[in-house]
Amino acid sequence: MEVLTKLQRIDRRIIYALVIILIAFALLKDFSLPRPVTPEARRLFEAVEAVPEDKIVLVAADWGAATRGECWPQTVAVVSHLLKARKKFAIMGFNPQGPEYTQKIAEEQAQIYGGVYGVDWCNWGYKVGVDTTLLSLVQDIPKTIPEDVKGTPVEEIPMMKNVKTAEDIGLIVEFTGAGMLDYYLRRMAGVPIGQGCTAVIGPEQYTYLDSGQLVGLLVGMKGAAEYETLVDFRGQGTEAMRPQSLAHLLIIILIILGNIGMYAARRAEKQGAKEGTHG
Amino acid sequence: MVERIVAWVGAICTLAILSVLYRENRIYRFFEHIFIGVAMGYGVFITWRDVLQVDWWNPLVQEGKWYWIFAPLIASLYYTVYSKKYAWLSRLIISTMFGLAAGMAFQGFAAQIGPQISKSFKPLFGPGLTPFQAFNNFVFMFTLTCVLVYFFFSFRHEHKIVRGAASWGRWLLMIAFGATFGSTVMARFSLFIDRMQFLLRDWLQIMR
Repeated sequence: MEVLTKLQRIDRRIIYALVIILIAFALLKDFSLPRPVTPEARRLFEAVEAVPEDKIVLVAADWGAATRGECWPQTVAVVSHLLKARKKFAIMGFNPQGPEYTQKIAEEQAQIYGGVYGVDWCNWGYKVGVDTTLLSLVQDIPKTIPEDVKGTPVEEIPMMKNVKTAEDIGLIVEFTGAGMLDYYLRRMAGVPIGQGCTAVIGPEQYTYLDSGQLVGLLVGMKGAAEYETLVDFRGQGTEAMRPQSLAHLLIIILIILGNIGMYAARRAEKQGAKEGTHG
Repeated sequence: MVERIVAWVGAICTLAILSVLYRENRIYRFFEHIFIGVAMGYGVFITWRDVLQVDWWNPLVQEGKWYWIFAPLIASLYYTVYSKKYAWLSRLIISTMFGLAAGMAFQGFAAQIGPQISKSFKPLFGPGLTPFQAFNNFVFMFTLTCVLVYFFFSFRHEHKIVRGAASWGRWLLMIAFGATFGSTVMARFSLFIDRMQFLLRDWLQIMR
């Protein structure tokens, strides 16, 4: 009984060590797992495919280093799809690091799928004042975004020639680890909006999916893996599903062990009380 | 060569931050401060390059729009909050921003919440509705009603039906919180896996 009661007091460092060993093993040892795709990820994929040729996609990079683990692979998957499908896109973000990261991703993916800066994509950069910027963007894009990050006037960028208002945006795909979606829903309600978000805020975003305000959703690293399956490549998200699955299994086992320990401790307490009463 | 140096710097920073898993230590604290400083410096640079230079400096200096000089002057009114004598000036700009934000929030509320309210009324039966959809809609309506009853504090939950619904509401909320917590665990693992991928692939180069 005493051994069982110790199960609820396992040193956290032992748990960390187990997690590290398990994750390293799963990353180094390649084994295949099923790659199911949720309807919400498929819907985002279809929304990207459905963007008309004369419209652009706005990649809203509202994420930074703190959520890189989830938002980076999601952005890679979607940007790859955009380049592969020859959909023109502009990068913008309300986090200083997001547009820079996404620029790097676009440059890397353009080497694989082809694509030229200014023709296939451009970077509007970091913006402040979410509400006011979006409100202004709806009415007049060149006035709201006078220059891209390279200092080129937006109206002189080839892909931006006919992009004047929000009506010229066919889809917004927002990547975030914070509650930024509300702003886009308030100001850009006429434009289809898809999202890639961290798993922390994932459950909250499903209400927007259910209400039809979101056309598609990627949640966490799993969402990235799903999109990679749809775009047909093995990226960081797919690779991460092995350690992710094993780590979850470990946590479930630890929860069961912790509960066994708790019940054993309760039983021991009750027995102790009984013996005390009889004694 | 540069890539290797970057990988080494990244690895040292990652390991220093992860050292807190063993216990709180000075190396962790030192690198934590470095990260905060780097993020702040980076933020200042990007704010200048992407915002101030484009939207303020260029119009003022290159396009001769002299009236932009008033922008920093008005913005600096925020800092009068530190002076007892001139603190009232800060209220001018704070109240203006409050009014602006409140107006925009009112305007945005309908666009954000309206569709959710209308979509909350789901059919429980009718043509074209599969049994699974009907069941799904029933679960949704049941959850919505019970949770709303739980948060109804205008009267005591004395009636059997109200008490029962509120109790269900509490349980259903717990399930939702459990789902959120589970999702949070997944998120934390994802961040750690990302770092492990970096260490094994980019630094140690033992992973494909």
